[in-house]
Amino acid sequence: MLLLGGCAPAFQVYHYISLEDYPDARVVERAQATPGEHRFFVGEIPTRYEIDRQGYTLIMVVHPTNWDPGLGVTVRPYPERRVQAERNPDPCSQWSARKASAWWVYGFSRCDQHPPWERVDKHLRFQVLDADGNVVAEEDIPYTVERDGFFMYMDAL
Amino acid sequence: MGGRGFNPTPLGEVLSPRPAATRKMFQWRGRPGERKPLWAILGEEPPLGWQPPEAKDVQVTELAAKAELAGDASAPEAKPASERADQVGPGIYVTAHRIAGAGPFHTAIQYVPEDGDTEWISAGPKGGRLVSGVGRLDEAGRVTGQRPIDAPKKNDVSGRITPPEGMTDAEYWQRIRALDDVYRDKVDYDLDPEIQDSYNSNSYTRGILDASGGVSTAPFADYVGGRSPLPARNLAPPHLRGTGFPNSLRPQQPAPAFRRLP
Repeated sequence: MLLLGGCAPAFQVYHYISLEDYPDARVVERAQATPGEHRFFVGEIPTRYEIDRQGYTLIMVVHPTNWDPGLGVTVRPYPERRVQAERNPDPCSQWSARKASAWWVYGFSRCDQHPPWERVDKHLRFQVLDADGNVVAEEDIPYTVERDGFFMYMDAL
Repeated sequence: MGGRGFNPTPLGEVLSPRPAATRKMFQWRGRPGERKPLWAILGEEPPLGWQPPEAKDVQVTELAAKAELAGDASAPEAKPASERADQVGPGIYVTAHRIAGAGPFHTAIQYVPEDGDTEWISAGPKGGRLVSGVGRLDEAGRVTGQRPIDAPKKNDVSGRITPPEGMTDAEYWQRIRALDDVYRDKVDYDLDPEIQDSYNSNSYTRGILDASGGVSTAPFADYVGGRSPLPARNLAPPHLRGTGFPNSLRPQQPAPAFRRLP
């Protein structure tokens, strides 16, 4: 098919990060996930969590249009509090952030050694800093990677 | 007249015996690591007019290698080894992934600004046309726009792009965006421009780079269509280049309806 049309249909199981099993996380928003061009059995997922701590609130956002598991993390109040993380804590996950951004983005895909659903150590580990850069708290939040249907797209040359 | 009929000497007695006809197969001999062309994979002869990788590609690679040895930081960088496109710092890159994980490479151009959303441009077939699109990754990690298949998480870096002299990465990206805006998706799509008469996604990437004056260390000669850039006449006329036309990020699909929970 690739030789004839330049396209190959590609299927991808839809995965997303969930904090629903973490008792401190409150789901404040849900949405229908819409990855890819054609979706099969992909449903509504939690898209925004809030975690209340002493002196700050963590906000975690899952983007329902994204194809790969990940989430954005920020803290309120900002910039009185801000998040900082190690960029490559293990081969399966990574953190990234722009300069002077309130957001850090946690990505989980492209794990070369283990598929996401087999990975055991699923924790969001990061620090919360104050405005002077002092560590206010070390966060260690467990999460799960959920499978929810699959989607199709055309990969083309 | 006598009754002698025509009695020719059998050809076999005149001609020396011929060996059985054998087809002389063209044997592909690529350089180490060089991608085998489609005609060689299929066991065919090279198409008429086929040439080995362009001198320009080889030259850029050699220049980069020499500069690296000499420690020249201003020279174009050599191709990074399997660098993930979602882990690179500010700059403009050629990124790529294999079609369906194992097929030929498909390329895109990705811009990582010092501060701002990461963007990328690429093209692909749609309704028989070569259709381009722009995607974007915002600070909270949300992928929007078109061509999510070339989002940084999906691609590896295959080369660094050096803008024309005197131009910053940001200015150069605006030029690329302006060229892409003027391109009207009117060119027919062909899978392999080297044996067909139109262009594919790698032709688009290479074409927009050539038309904008950028130099890349990506091995375009190794990519199907990389040696056949989309002609500049399909992109912006010169007087429009670098004017920074706004590119409307046409949504690929309606925004999801969020449901606020009590």
